[in-house]
Amino acid sequence: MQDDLHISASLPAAPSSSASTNTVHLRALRRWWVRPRTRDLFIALLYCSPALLVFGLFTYLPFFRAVFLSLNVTNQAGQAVAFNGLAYYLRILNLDGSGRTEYLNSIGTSFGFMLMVVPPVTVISLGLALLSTVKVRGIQIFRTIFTGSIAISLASAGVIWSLLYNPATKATAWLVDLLQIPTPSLLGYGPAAIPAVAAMTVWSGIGFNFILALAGIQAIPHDLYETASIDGAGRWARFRHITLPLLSPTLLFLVIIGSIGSLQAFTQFHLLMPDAPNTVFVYLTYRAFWYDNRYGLAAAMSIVLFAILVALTILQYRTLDRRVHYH
Amino acid sequence: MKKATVFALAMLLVAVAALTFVSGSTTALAQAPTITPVPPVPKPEGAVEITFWYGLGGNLGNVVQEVVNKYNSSQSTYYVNAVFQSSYDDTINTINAGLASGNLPNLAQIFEAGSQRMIDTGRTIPVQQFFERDGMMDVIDDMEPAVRANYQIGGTLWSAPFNSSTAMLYIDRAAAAAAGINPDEPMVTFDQVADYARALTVKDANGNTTRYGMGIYGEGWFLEQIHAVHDAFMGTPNNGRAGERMTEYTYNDAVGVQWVEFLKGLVDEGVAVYYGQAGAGQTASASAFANGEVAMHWASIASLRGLLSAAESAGKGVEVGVLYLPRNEGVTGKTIVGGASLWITDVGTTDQQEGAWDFIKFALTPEIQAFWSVNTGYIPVRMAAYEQAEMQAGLEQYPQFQVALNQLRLTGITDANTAHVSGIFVPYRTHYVAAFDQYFTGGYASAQEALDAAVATSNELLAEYNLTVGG
Repeated sequence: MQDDLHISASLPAAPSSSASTNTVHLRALRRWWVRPRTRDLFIALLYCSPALLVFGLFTYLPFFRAVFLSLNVTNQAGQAVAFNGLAYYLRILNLDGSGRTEYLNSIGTSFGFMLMVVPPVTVISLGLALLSTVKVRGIQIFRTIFTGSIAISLASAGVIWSLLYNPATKATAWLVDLLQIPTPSLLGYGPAAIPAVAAMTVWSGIGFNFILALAGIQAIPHDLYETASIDGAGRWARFRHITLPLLSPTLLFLVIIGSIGSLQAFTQFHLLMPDAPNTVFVYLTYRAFWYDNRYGLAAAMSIVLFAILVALTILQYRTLDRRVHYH
Repeated sequence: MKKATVFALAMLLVAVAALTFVSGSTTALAQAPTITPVPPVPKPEGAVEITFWYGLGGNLGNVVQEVVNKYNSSQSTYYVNAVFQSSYDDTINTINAGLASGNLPNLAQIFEAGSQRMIDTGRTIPVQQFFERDGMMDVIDDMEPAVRANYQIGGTLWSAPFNSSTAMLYIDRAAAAAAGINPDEPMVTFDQVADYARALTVKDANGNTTRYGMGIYGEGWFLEQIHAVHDAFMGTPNNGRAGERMTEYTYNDAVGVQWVEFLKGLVDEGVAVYYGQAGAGQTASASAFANGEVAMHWASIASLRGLLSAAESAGKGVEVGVLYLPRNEGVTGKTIVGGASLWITDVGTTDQQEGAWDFIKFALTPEIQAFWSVNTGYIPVRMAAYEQAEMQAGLEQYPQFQVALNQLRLTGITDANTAHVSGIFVPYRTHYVAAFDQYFTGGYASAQEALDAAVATSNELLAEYNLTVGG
């Protein structure tokens, strides 16, 4: 079977008459074509082609374009005009010896934000989901309330929370006084702004996380709990040894999705703290593009973020997957 | 209906009520009157259509549409289709986005921060060519010198000045009189203004400040103004005006450092309050000024009407007065002009380019200039506009406006007291304001450190920009 390809590949080089070459060539092609695996592959590709076309045009092409732009300096029309090598990457990671760390710091800010969002939102959602399994009258209403924030888009939530943080509404003035913040708004003061946005993001994320956690808990076979109860397992032991292990695939999914989502968070920063000097990496990328018109730098920053997300996801799978029980 | 459904509906109503409360307080916050857009006049049959992009919104945008309507009604050869582009920034960004495809307007209103970038698009026709061809150099000669100089780059008038203003230090005249300050002497030094701020700060019996001497926010325009007043360059060579591209920002000089330290010192002393960066900070400071919570406020002379009506509706007895920008002892320099100009592009037919030029000629007539100035608060481009009865009545109604004109005419024109020209004008301001903000919120130890950082970023961007245009 392997030989077919070798024959057809070496044929053009053979100094024989063109007519016979063509015949041999066609025969080889025919033999290649009738092989079931090739045909299956072709038909599979045909069926996939709409999706491949869309992915190619809107995902892979832009991705490779971004890689190309990240290695070039662009003019104001966005065309690459000078090859820049890895200069932008070195600048972002402070490897160029300039000692300027604003981009590196913002990667740290992004991770800080992630840590302020993912653990609380996972724990709170899990807690609410556990509460929602209690069999009391009207529990559906509480479930609806806990789910509520999924129905509010991040943009609307951002507007609502910007009003809560707006010093003129005085809704969070007590908190500003309590923490003795030097600016009238939580969002105006660097160390308070990121936690304030994280609080909003946690609230906004509870709906989605709650639904998945609740669905995960309800999917756990009930007889396991009954058996455990007969064996004398208490409430905590049942949670610790049944709910948590069997929910772990859901929790792993939530942690990974939540981490990626919070590292990519943009809307809430755009609405709540667009001018803040210290902000997350994604927002600095946006500024490099729109404010500074440095399309090449912005492309390099998005590639760096891509690399970080890939590395983080692999790391999370490697470390957390060992603790996950699939059933 | 099930009991649970009823309960759920009731909860929903509670939620809606809570949201209404929140939105109710926002309305109170904004208090912006709804502005009905002025409709365009219909296009006459067979008229050549000129696409005109502009970036002024609200009431100002309406006056733009009114000027366009006046033009469209005055003749039937050309028809100007005015398209609002959200803001100055969006106008030039949309032009950038259209450069590759050639999807550009025939005429665009661009702020002076975008002048270098417009020249570098290579898609504009300097208006001076049209003035020369039509023997209309007398119109250029009749322009307010500071305004003309702003748009004359390397000796060529690239774009037609349209809306211009300058920066002022606003002061509550009532509070000033009560504190023994003479608000009719506009020439003030840094030391005097610091004394004013101290005298105008009021504390209650508990030691809480009920009125601060001054409201402060981060804004690059004022840094440029202070440099102009002291005849100091923002960058070399020659603010980018003498036919050579600017290669380096130098605003971390003594003038810049003194300016930022001056403001920070007032805040540290407790006689001024910092409201944040331009935009939100400016709005907060303006509102505080109108409500008598601060007695001095930095703003453009074009904000005069807005501040007057805000002070009136607040009803706290604030009388709006203006002073020159403060300076060191013995310095008599003028301020610079900020605003926007009209650019003709090379897209479309020759007819459309002629139409764009025809509209500019119309917009620069003394009648339209007087109408424009009186209805917007911008400075007329033409000196001849002051002969119009409408303009004279306007000056009588707003004596503060004359103070602004006097400030703009204090000295002759130099490259240092005219707005600098650079391809990264907008980003420079963003980075300056960010550094300013960090200094005011404790991110930098000194003004020098903050400005050094901002200049370093500015120069990194400038070098890269100059590289992309082969300069």
